[in-house]
Order: sequence, then structure tokens, then C-alpha cells
Amino acid sequence: MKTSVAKTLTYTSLLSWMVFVILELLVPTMVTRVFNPHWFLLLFLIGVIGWYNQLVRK
Amino acid sequence: MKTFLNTLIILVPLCLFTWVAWTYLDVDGINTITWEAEDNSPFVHGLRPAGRVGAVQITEDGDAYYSIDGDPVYLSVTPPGNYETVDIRTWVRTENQPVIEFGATVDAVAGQVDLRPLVNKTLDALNWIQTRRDSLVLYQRHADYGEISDVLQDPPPLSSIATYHYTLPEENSVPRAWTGNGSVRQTQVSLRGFHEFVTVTNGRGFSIDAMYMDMNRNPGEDPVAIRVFQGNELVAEVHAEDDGVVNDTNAALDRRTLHLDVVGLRAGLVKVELNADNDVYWRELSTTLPMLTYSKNVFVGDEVGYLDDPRSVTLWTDAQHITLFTRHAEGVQTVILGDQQVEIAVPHEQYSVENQHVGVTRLTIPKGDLLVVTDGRIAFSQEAFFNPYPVQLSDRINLNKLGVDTILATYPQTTQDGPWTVGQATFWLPPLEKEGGDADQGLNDGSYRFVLSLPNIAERGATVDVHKIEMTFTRSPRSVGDIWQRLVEKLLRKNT
Repeated sequence: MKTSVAKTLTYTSLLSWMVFVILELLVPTMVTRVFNPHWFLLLFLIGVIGWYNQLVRK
Repeated sequence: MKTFLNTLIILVPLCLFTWVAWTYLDVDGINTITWEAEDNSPFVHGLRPAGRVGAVQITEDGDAYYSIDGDPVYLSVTPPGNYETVDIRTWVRTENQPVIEFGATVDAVAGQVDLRPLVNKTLDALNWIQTRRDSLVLYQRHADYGEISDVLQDPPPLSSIATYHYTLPEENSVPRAWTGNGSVRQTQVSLRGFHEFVTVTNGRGFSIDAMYMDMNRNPGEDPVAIRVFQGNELVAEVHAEDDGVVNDTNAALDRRTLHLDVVGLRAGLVKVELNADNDVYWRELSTTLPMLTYSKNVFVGDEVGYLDDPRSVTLWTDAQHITLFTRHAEGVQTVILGDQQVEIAVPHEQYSVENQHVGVTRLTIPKGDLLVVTDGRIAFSQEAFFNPYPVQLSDRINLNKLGVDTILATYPQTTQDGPWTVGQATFWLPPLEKEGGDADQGLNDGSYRFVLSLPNIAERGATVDVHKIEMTFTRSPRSVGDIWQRLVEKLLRKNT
């Protein structure tokens, strides 16, 4: 069975947010000079909501 | 479709990670950061202090800008890594501020700032003949010289040439007449604290005798030194320790004399520093050279503890703008500059006066006890006066009044971008001071402190609008091998 898009988005965005925030903490401005890592938090929320809807529908 | 979307979701952060790493490693060694008014930048931390910088405004074209009405204004910048130079371009607009300069702090405690020209409206407005060689520009009222090198080889009289951020080589500009025989004996004035003067020699040695008194008016030791420089080289010095009184007793124990023989000189200018704090009064000074002028400021001290009554002091200056200041009620007096009278009515207030004459003018201070700050040079006799330097192009200069026909300026070309004038300045970063950084944490934690200098902007009620600042940091490019080597070095350093 293929993994759902919402689940992939949830896991990937949470992991990415953690990696980029840790990088930013280790080397200030390394990430924020390119983009704001908190966009991944927004994507994580979207993923969680999508995943929840899928589970409810089942 | 689902597989495609899943792959895309995974690829996006991977691409972003690659982009972040590539930007951080900065392989080509060039990194440009741009800050516009109202921006929140991780590198540029805005203009300070808030009291000199107005609220953000928007032009008709939609450009945001800050209006500045005080001097100086500071700009703290965290560099995006370890770089060697920074080329700064600044978008500014002003109607009535003639000089805008950009500086970088070298030593905050000593107040040492490396200032560079950004926009000079006096130069921009000149319709003289211009010859440019990179950043060095020659402005001529008449076509007297073909090339910049011609001016350097055979410069015009120093009173008719002005310089701006440029030092004229002294070999061809010091007349031989100044280097003759003679001596200067200065006994009619007490000078308080640090002073600096220049004299000129044809290569023969000379001696300095300085009689001083430590008046012990402030707590602490008061060591004294005379240092002699030629070029930037220290050629002679003499020291004296404190008189042993470290409290503010107002007791002057004795009159002491420092003697210094200076030998091994080459023909040219000699700079002498009288190093002391404000407890020390230089009562007498003599040199065995005929010329002696002080640099810009002299602090004529009171005679309390030395003479029974205050005495009149006469000095000679070619300054065009003079500021006078006294700390004591006894210093309230009427000072005479040429045929102008300046009323020093209240202590602790600055009195500015513009000299109506051109050339050397007599300044009479009936009661002494006055700090004299000028934009020219000062001597205590007309015979000793000389000015070995060309006119300095300041924000208040009147070129026609001074009869200046030639200007040599270090002034990078400005460009126009709509209503904004774009000026540029380049700094070598290693000597600049960083603040707020922890050395153990590496360079990223420290910030450079840049300065926007707008001389006398508040006095003339002018404003300068700042829209944008672009900083291009550069260093030598890195290969993949270099990056790997640095990575290994960092890991090894962390593990040891």
C-alpha cells in the first residue's frame, strides 16, 4: 500500500523543520538568510489536518 | 499521481538543504546582502540612535526611506561569514547636506573611525574640468594641468589647492624658505593637556625644551611624554613619571622641564606630540627650529597657581571656523578675531565664529582660559606660523572665498537611481573592530559598527534620506578541496 501524501507531508515537514531549526541554532543566519524554516511548521499542520481527515473518513 | 506528490514533498526540503549549504559555503567568495528601510534583515540591524532617525516614509514611487536629522548615525552589521573586504553602496537623497561620509569603527574606545567619502554635493556641483583616475579625481577651475601626476610633481601654492580624503606628498609641497635657521620660544601662554604641533627641518637635528607643572586638579597619576614623529615613524621620545601626588589636592609641587634632542632626521615635516592629561600645564616651550604651528585645537589654560593675574594671549590662525569654550566664570570675556568681537558670555557654552578674513588672522584672548577648536592651524607668533598642508575640503568650505582653483579628491563615482544618489565605499575588514561577539564562537557572533557621518547636519537643519544599503562581501574563492580541508580542521579543533 502506498503512503498517503498527507502522511508524507506530515513526517517530511516536521523532520525538515527540526533539521533547519537546529542548523540555524548551531550557525545563526545560515538558514534564515535563504528562507524562514517556520514555513515547514505550517506545512506540518496542513499535513496533520489532511492525515486526520483521512483517518476520520476510514 | 500520489507517487509524484510524495517524491515532490521529499525533494523540496532536499533542494532547500542544498541551497542553504551552497549559500553558506559561498564557493565563489562573493556574498551580497541588501537592506531596505523597514526590512528585518538577519545581517543589517537598522539605523541608530532612534532619536536621529525618523519614522519610515514612502516616496511616490513606493520606495521606503528613513529621514536622518542628526549626526552620527550607526549601523550594526553581522557579516555573513569570514570575508576580507566589503563594498558598500548606499542609496541616499538630500537637498541641503553637502557632505555624507560612511565610516567603519576601528577602535570604539579611542573613537577611531575609518571615514570614506560617500556623497559630496560640493564636488558634484562643480562645473570645473575633471580628470578621474579610478577613485582619485582632479578638479581644476582652469586647465592648468593635463594629468593628475602633473599636479603631484609641480603642485600649485598650498593655499590654492584643496584636498579631500587625499594626502598630498610633502616632498614637492614644503617650501625651502621654511627650513632656514631660527628658533621658537613660547613663554606667553600656558597650554593645558595634550597638544600636537608640526615643525619643519632641512634635515638637521633640533632640540625641544618644555617646562610644565602638574596642577593635580583631578585624581590619578599624571605621566608626561614628548614624542617626535617623522612620517609615521617615532624618531625620539622622552618620558617623565607623575610627581607622586595622585589625589586632587590642587598642589603643584614644582616646575619640571623635559629636554629632548632629536637627531637622524630627513628634510621635511616633523610632528611633535605633547602627551599629558588635563592636570598638566605646559608653561614654556622652545625649539631650535624656526616654524611651529599647532594642529586645529589648543587649550589655553588658566594661570591659577602660576601667575598672580590672568594674562592676555595672542595667537595666529588661518582657520575659517572657530569654536570657543570656557569652563570657568573667570574665562568669561570678549575675544577679538581680526576685527570681529566674540562675546564669551557664559561658561560651558560653545561659541562658534566664522572668520571673515582669508589668510592668517590674529586672535586675542584677553584672559586666557579658553579651549580653541579650529579647522585650520594655530601659532603663538606670526613669524612661527606656517601651514604645510593644503586646504581641507570640509562641509563648510567656501572655495571662492579661499581662492581655491585645484582640488584633489579621493571620491568614488556616484550614480543616480531615480531620485536616489548611490554612493559607494570599500573597507578592508580585518582591522575593523567587532562588537557583541564571543571570540570562542567565531566571527559570526560579532557585528561591525558602521557610521553614517553627516557633519553639522543639525546646525544647518538639513535631512538625509536613506533608502537602501547594499553590501558585497568578498574573499578569495574556495575549491571543493579547500572546503573539505576547512571542515576537517574544524572537526579536529572541536575534538581537541
